[in-house]
Amino acid sequence: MGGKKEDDRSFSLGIWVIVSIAVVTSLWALFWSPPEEPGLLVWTFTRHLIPVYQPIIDEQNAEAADNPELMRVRLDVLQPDALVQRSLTGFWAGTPVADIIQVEIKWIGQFLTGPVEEVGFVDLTDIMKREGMFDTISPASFAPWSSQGRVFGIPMGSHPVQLAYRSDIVEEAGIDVSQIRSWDDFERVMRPLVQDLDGDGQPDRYPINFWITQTPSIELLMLQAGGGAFKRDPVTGHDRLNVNAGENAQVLARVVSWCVGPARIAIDSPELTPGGNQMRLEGKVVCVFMPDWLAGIWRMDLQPLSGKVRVMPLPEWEPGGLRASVWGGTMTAIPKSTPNFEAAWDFAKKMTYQPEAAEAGFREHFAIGAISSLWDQPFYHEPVEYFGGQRAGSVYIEAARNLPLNNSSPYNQLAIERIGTAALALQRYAESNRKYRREELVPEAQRLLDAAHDEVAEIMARNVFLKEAGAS
Amino acid sequence: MRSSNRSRWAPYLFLLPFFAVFAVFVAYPLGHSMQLAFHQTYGPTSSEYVGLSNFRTLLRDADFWKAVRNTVIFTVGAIVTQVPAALGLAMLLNRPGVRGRAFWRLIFFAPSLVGLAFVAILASLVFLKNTGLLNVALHNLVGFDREFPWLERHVMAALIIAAFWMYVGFNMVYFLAALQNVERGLIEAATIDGANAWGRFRHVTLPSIWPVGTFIVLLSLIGSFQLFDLPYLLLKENGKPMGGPDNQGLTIVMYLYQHGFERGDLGYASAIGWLLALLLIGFAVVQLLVSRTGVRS
Repeated sequence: MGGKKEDDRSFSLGIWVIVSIAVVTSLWALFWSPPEEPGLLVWTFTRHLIPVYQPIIDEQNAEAADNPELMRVRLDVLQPDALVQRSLTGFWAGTPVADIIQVEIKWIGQFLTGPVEEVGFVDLTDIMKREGMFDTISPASFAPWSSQGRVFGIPMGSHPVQLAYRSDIVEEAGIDVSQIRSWDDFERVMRPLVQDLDGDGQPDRYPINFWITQTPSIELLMLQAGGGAFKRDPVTGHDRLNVNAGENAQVLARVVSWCVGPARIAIDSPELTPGGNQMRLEGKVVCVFMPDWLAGIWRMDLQPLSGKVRVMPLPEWEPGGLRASVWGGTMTAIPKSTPNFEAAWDFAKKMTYQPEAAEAGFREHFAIGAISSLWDQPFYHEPVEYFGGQRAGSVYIEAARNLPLNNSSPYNQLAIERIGTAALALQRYAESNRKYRREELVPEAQRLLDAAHDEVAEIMARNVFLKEAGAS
Repeated sequence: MRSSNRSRWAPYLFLLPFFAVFAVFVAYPLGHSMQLAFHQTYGPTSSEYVGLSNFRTLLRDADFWKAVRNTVIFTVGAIVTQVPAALGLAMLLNRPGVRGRAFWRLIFFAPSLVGLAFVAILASLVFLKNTGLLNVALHNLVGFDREFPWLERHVMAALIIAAFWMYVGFNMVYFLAALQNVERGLIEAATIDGANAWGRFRHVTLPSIWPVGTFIVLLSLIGSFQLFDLPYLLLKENGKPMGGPDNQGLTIVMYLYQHGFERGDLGYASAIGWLLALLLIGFAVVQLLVSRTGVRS
């Protein structure tokens, strides 16, 4: 009987197997550490950059085989969200991160919102000064990667924006684009291109790809007009909130007038989407805002348009105004956690400064590098087949020499979102009040931007870390 | 004696794993999040005590209330559309005479086998203006406006439609199981007593499936209040608010995520989390009272 009782209390074989597996795997997880590969690890966010950096990596690795002082380099491409989350987790919780990380402009606010001493990237300001980098790279390119006067990354490009247009459609309509100097000229000259292509009574071709929800386009126009979400204060050197600037109200009123009413000239054809590309191939869009990197993407994704596209400077907002703007940006930064700062810094400079990298970037992606001393290199000024033999690189280089100053506030993205909300509200106002002309919309645009300005200011005022640092 | 000692400790030993897991993964995070709710943070390393400031700000935070409003609209929209449709489908597919019942059940249930990420990607293609499947199809059929801005001005409607497609079959399966447990004898007795179809449904079927119905409503309520992945994947776009244009698709959990994991303010995110918990407890209590009333009646 007693033996039987003991048997009842014992566990079955299955339970022991499960417990054993649980114990063994727990111990394995506890004591296992990922194998550490020697050398530098670089994280970037798009596979399109592989052909640009791979030759430099191969060259460094070949040299490292003979020179033990040089470190080997590996490149990992992470999906952008994953790159940001893994980097932030690494900074906050000490999980492993790469030795060099490339960050796109739309994410940078997340890295710079806290106290400046808590930023996970190495403050490169002093070393950049020592090595004269501020003399070779345009100041406009540094702004997005700065916080409270300190620079945390090397800008990888200058990202000038020009206006690209379908030369075949424009020529067929007998339009001479050289008549276009201002946005008023643009509206007047291009309006005849609003056409009904399929005969259903509704126009489906419009002169410009723009919509009120395309906030990056609104931002680039505001920067071109002398506004923008933030503006550098010449006295303090800090970026101050600038959402309710008069220039911004003018831009908002004009772009809303493009999208509503009988004089509408814009169509929503989102970039980098199959639907948007289909519309471009069907000729439903004539002009687009074209940053250098987008030109590279068009060349890959919209091959049938080869030879049918040209670029021209952006129309100006006022006589003598800027005819270029800026859209996007990428920095190369070094996390504080890297044990190989010197090697990482040397390689990061190679990624930026090496003429071969600049040439590969231009040939592969039409990217205009950040180093202005390389802008006279012949490869930038060759005729480009995609642009019908136009020396499009020269047009972009000219634009890169006169870019508006972008800003460095970690709240830029938030401010741009609020401007987008104001734009949407202005569009609704225009439709419900049947006010479609720019001049009629300016007062309401100003009122909406004032409200957006106050909202952003209130959110910024809550940040005790930046307040302590005296940032505006 | 030894055996007696072993018996005394055995229950505690068996309970220990649960309590250890509960303490580490539930009790400690709950306590810590309550503490965090009184701080402003930048990640886990920088923290400043701010007292009740997070809660005060939250109560007059227009974005938070917009997120609450959106979440409530989605919840009501989802429940009002999904539950009756799921019940209707279940009743239809529970009829013995329907040909290919198993096939139709599979067809309606299949969307819930697809991940939410896929649904979001599909929905983003369906609801696009100019080239989206829905607008193009409606334009060709009835001359509908090709530029109808689903994801600009009718975000909640788009989300409710996408969620309907995904979950109506899932809820249908619950109702099917409940309907198959309704006593045939009661229905036959009601028929003999002269009850028509509506009378049989109202007085026999509905009371029998009421507990399952309230369970589905509770599940939908909790799921809807935790809505995150569908709008996050559908609306996330460069330069636009996380909740789409004018934050029309922003939900409470998205707002929590935005503050906690994009802006690094775990304190404010904790305050949002606690308010969400209070809201959910309130709704659960109301739902419990309603369901008890239903069972009694």
